[in-house]
Amino acid sequence: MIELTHLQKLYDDTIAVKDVTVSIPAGVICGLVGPNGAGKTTTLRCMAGLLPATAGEIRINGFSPDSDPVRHKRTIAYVPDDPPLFDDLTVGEHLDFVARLYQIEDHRRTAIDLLERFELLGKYDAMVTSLSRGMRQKLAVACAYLIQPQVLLLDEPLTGLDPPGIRVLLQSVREFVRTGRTAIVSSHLLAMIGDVCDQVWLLQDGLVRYHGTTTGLRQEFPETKSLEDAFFAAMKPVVKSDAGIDESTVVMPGVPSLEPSSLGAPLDQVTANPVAPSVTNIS
Amino acid sequence: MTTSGFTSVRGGQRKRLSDWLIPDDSLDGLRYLSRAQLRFRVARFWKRMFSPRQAIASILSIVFMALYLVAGLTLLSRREANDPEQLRLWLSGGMVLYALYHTVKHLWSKPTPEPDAVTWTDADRLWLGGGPVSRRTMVLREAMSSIPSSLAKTALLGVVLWRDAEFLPLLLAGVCLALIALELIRRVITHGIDAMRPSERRLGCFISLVVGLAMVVQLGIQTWQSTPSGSDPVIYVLSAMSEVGNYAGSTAIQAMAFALLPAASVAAAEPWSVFDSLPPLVSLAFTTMIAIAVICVLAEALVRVDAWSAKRRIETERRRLRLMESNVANGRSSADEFLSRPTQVTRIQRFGDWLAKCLPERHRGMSGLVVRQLQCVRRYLPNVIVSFAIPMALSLSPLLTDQTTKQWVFVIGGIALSSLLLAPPALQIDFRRDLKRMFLVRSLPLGNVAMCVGMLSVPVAITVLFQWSTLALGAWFATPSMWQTVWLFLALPSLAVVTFAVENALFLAFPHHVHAQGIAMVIRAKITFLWKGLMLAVAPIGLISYVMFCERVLPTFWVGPAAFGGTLLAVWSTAAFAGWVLVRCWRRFDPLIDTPPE
Repeated sequence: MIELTHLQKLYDDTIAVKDVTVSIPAGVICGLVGPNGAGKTTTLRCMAGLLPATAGEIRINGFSPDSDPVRHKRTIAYVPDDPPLFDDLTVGEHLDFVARLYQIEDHRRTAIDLLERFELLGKYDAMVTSLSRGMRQKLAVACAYLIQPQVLLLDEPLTGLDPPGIRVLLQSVREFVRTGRTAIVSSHLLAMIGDVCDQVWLLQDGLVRYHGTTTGLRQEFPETKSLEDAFFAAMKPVVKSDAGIDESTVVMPGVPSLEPSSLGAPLDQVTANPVAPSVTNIS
Repeated sequence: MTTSGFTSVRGGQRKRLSDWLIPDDSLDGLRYLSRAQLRFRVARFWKRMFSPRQAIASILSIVFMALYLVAGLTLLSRREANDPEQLRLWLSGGMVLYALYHTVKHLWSKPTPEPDAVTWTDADRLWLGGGPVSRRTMVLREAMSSIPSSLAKTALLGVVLWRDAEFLPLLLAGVCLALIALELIRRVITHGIDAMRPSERRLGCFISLVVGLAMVVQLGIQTWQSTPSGSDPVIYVLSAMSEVGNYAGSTAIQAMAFALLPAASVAAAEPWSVFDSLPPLVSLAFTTMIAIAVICVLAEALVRVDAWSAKRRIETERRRLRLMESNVANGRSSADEFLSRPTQVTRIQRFGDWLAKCLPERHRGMSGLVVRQLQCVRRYLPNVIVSFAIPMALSLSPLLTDQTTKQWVFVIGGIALSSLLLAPPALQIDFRRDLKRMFLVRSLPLGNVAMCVGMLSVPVAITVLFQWSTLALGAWFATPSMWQTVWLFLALPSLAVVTFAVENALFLAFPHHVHAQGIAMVIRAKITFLWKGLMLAVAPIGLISYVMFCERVLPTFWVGPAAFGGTLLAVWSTAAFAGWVLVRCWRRFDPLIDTPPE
């Protein structure tokens, strides 16, 4: 269970996150979308405990980054866009290091399975500096799965991945949430969000423009013809009425209902490459 | 909380000694990381020995260490040994002066929104900062990273100070403990300044300026009074150094050095008077233990100051957020100002446009590099001004002496020394700034020569401005011959070109990250210092020898023009050669291979 209450973050002279209040239940994939500079990465970094929030509260599975940062971070794995890796470690050493840091027992088998699944096993002894950007992304995702977090935060995870990689990653995220855990995927690929995510969370100018199910978003904007149109409709510039109320802001009150049917959305719509993912179970 | 996957989670066991020593369960991972990184570095060092280019750096380091050691054992062994009490005072007081310098420097530097980004790598911040590692462990780990460089500095200082040692192992132990304590103090000061609000920081800057000026004036007066009238500028320099030594030993500075006193006492093998009743060895052991205890206390202080600093930064952030929100609520938003700002053409941009028009078409891209560097200089203008104002004052200080001819030589020497030693670290806006962006720099549509000229143009121009303005002031007071002044105006800029070209060529041949630390960086700094010192010594000898040769060989009428033109040709040829070397280094620089790991 993820609960953000009036989260605000001032970064230098910019209010990157103005006021974010959302509640995301366990066992869902939530797509985080919004234009560049909307505050997505800052919100994810605050949730991961990498940035202290200026105001508001973050509570993930009952732990707050302020009161119990170490336990809070144990429950979360955060994979940023183009993740920085330790340049002086090999791929295998990176996984070993992460497993030791999180005290994962008997991690070798899982690590090898993950590398095999993400097609990195051949690079086990390669220095991370020799990896391509997509491979670095895959290694960071493998490290994230290795620590068996309760919440997975993926910031633009598909950037740099090849089509088979995208397919494997999305499949693995689905398997991950099936075990009752939560994943938040930030992306600009609206079609993927519509296909894979149970919930969608729209941020614009540091404010929540919409949070709810994808079907709910379509219903909010019945005049739109597709989910993509609905996204754009929800992200229209804020128009203030005479009473000073944002007329275009649509925020679902309370926890939105899940849409179980979307859990099994066909991946073929996302990637054209028919390469089948390997069988390692992420749980 | 579901703890699946974790073998141990601490809970409800706080405030025990074990928690203080090992605050979380991440040490196994950190040990593994340190071992893997050390293994990688040793392997890399060994591999480099077989690469001709890298082997040069390694061999140079080894040769330097050997020469340094030999010099220490031969030349320095002849000097008179200092009194142990003097050694103690200089060691502790000198380190306090360094800490004060660091305080002023950090106060005046631009505050960063994320101070952690300065000390930790991106990977550290993601995997350790985002992992189950307590902040305490992170801070202590970072502080411990100073131990290897402290050991290296101890070895270097040990060679200089061994003559003063009562007992060499104690000297080394004391110096090492003092250096570690100094590093911890430096970090405590840094965290403290980072926590300051903008108004407090401005006040701190003002106070530092007033106190700094007062200290300089006091030092100047003391030097003036302690040096016999009509003395050589060298005597003044020696007097000033002696006064700095006295100042380091003054009661005020020694009071501030209380945390360094035990380590300094160990180095001087002078146990504290409270242990007088004990045998010397036992009392020294007690003093050593106190010095170690001081380091533990400083480490704990660092952890607490860091926590306090982080908390206070958030409080400041909250205050600013509330202020911004209330401004918006009261209709005092500066949105219009923000909107209009990007449309305004700045003077720098206008200069860039003018420069582009002046340059040949295929080199017009250079104007972009120049504009970028000028914008950077504008952002850090106070730092740049301070960095050059101090050398200018020092270069002109010989004019205050009663000597007439030698003072001019010292002004020129001061300008040359400042250009060689102080300008490159003050103006790191060339290739050295772009190591992380080398792929982008490489992709710019500029030829190798144009790229190097563009990168060096602004730093060289600023250094030349410093040289000419100092020279003009000096010439006004000292009134040297006109031809000599003209020669200096024409020749000194070549020194700026050589300095920046060699600095950048060395950087491209042996690149390093801006915040890199460790033994390699210490040795690198010493070798760089050495080549600059050698150049300062050899270049005037070469030029004077040439002039003397002209006097012997040529008819009197031709001596002046030949000496004037020949020496200018020589210095500018050297500058052109340095530029050629830089272009070669840039041409062969491969961002994929040459960018070092962080």
